[in-house]
Amino acid sequence: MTQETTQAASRGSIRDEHGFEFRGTADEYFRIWIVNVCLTIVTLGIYSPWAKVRTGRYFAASTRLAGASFSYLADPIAILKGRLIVLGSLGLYALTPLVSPFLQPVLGVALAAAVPWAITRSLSFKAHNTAWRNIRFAFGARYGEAFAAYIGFPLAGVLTLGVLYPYAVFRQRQFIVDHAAFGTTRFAFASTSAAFYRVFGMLLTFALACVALVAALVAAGGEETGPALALGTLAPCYFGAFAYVAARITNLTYEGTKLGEHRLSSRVPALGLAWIYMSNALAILLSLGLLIPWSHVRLARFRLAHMSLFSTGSLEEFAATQGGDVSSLGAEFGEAFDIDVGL
Amino acid sequence: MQEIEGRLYDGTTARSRDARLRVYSDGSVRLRAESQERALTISDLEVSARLGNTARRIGLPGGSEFETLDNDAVDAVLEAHAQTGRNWVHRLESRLGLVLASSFLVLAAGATFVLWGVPALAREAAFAVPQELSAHIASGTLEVLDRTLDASELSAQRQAELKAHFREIAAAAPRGYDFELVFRAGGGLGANAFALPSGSVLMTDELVGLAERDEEIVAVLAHEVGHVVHRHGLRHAIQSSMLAMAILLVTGDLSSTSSFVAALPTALAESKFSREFEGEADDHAVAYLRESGISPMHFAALLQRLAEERGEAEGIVTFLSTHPSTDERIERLEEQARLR
Repeated sequence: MTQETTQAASRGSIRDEHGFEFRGTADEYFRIWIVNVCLTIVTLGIYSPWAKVRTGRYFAASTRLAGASFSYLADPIAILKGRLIVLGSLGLYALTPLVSPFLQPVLGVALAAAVPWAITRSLSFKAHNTAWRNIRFAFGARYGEAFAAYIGFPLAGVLTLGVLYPYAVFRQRQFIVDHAAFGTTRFAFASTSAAFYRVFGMLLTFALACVALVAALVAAGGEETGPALALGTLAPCYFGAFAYVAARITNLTYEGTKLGEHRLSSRVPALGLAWIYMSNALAILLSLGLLIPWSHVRLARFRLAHMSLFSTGSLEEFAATQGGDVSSLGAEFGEAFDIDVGL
Repeated sequence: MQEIEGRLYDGTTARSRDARLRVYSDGSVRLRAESQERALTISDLEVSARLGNTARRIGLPGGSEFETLDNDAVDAVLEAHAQTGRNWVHRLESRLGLVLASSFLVLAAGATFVLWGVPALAREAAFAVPQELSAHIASGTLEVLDRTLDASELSAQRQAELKAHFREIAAAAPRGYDFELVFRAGGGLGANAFALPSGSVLMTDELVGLAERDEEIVAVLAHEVGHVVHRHGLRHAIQSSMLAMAILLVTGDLSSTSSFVAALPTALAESKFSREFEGEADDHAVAYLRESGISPMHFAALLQRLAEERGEAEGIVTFLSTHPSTDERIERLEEQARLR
C-alpha cells in the first residue's frame, strides 16, 4: 500500500484503495436457496433459470465497492433459451446414430468447434448483464482468439506433456481480462506467463513433498496404521494443493488486471482458502447439503475481503457505451440467450 | 407523503449523487438530487423485486437509476399504491415456517424422486425405446471387452451343451431379443457372467469351472436373461444420467465442493438401484428354474461358492460388488425353494 502510494505519487496522481465487501448473510441466502430448490423441483427444472438469476442477483447485490453494489440484470427467459439450445444439440448428437453412423463424429466435431463460440457467448452474457453504478460491463472476442485460448493452447499443453499447460492457463486468463470492459473503459492484463510457471512449479514441489510424506508415513506405520495415516495425510494435501492453485491463480489474475488507470488487487491467502474449502466440504457432507448456502456465502465473503481496487483519480469518470460502439464488444450477444459454461 | 433516501446514477457515467425520492398519496413523485428536482409519477418507477436486504434499484425514465438500502420504505410505498403483487418469491423467502417446511419438502421430494421416481421413469423410457435401438447403443461393448479378454479354452462339445441349455432359456423368454451365449477366458474378471442389452450373454470359463452341476449354470444364464428382458442395461444408463442431471439442476453448478458432496448420495442411490436389478433378475431365474423343475437351491449353492471364492481372490469385481449381499440373496432363494 505504501509502495503503491509512493509509486503513484511519484507520477503525480493519488492512489486510493477501495476494498470490496460482501454483505450477504447465510440466513438470507439460505432462504433464497431453499425456495429456489423447492420451486425447481416442483416445476421439474423449468424454474432453474429464474433460480439462477435470483442467486446471481443476490451475490451481485451483496457485493459492494465504493458505496455502491453490483447488479445482475439477466433475463431468465434468455437463460432458458440457451439451455434449450444446448439440450437440443446434445439430444441431436445422441440420436444421430439412428440416421447414419458416420454423422455422429461429424456432429461431434461441429459441437467441439462451437465450444469457443459458446464460451465467448457465455462471457459476454455475464458481463453485459452485470452492472455497477448503472453502467454495464461488456465482453467481446473473435472466434479465433477464443479458439486459441480454449482449444489451441490447452491442446499444446497436453501434447507437450504439461510443459505448456501453465502458459495455456496464462493465455486463458489473458483472454478473459483483455476482452472485457466496464462501460467504455477496457480492462488490460499485465501479468506474465513466468508468474504462472512459478505457481505450477510450487505445485509440483508440493505434490512431490506430499508423496514423499505419505510414503514415509506408510513405511513408518506398517501394515496396521499405514493406510489410515496415508489417507489422513492425502485429504489435507489434496485440499491444500487445490486451494494453493485456486488462490494463487486468482491473485495473479486480479493483481495483473488494469481497468484504465486503475488496478485490481487480490491477496487471498492460500492457507486460509484451504481451510475454507476443507471445512465447507465437511460441513456440507455432515448437514446433508443444507449448509451449501452457508458455505457459498462464507467463501464469497472470504474472497472479497481480500480484494480491492486501487484507483488513480476519480471513479466517477467511467462512461457507459453509447448505442454505436456496442456491437464491437459483442453486447448484442448478451441479450438473446445465454449458454452456461462453468469457468 | 413517503420519503426514500438513496443514491442516483445517471446511466451515462459512474457518477454517484445523494438523492431523495418523495412519493405523494396521489401517485406523484418528486426526485431531488443535489439541487435538481424532477417530477414523475408512481407508474414511471421500475422497482426491482425485493431480494433479502440487498440494495433496491428503481429504474427511472431516461435510463437513470435510484439505488437505496431502505427496503422497508420501498415496500411501504409499493403497498400504499397497491403494487405488491410480484413479490411472492420474497414472501416465500421471508417466512421462517415456510422456509423450514420447504426444506422438508425438498428433502422428501428429493429422496422420493431419486428412490422411486427415477427408476419408474427410467423403466417407462427403457421400454418405450425400440429393442433394435437399445441393442444398437451397446453394440460396441463386446468388441471393447474382447480387447482385454482371451478366447475361451472350453471344448467345442462343452460349449455346445451349455448353448443348448441357453437356447431353452431363451425360448421361454419374451420375443424380440437376439439371444446369444459366448464364452471367454475370464482373466482379471475371474468367475463372472454378464448380459448386454442386445441379448448377448458372456460367461467366463472360470464360472463354468466353478459350477459343480449344469443346473447351476442354467440358473446363472436365466439370471442374465432376466437382466436382458428387464432391460437393465438401458435402465441403468437412463437412471444414472437422470440422477446426474437432477443433481446438476438442484446444486446449480458443478463446482468442486458440490460435486464432491453429490458423490455420496449418488453412490447410495446407485447401489439401491443395482440391488433392485439383481432382485428382478433373480426372480426371473427362479421362475424359469421352477418351470423346468430345477430347485433354486442350485443357484444358492453356486452363489455360496462364488462368495467363498471372492473371499480368496480379489479379481471378481463386476458380478459381485454391485450385487446385494450374497447371504441376503441365498436366503431369498432358500425361501423360494421351500415354497415349492
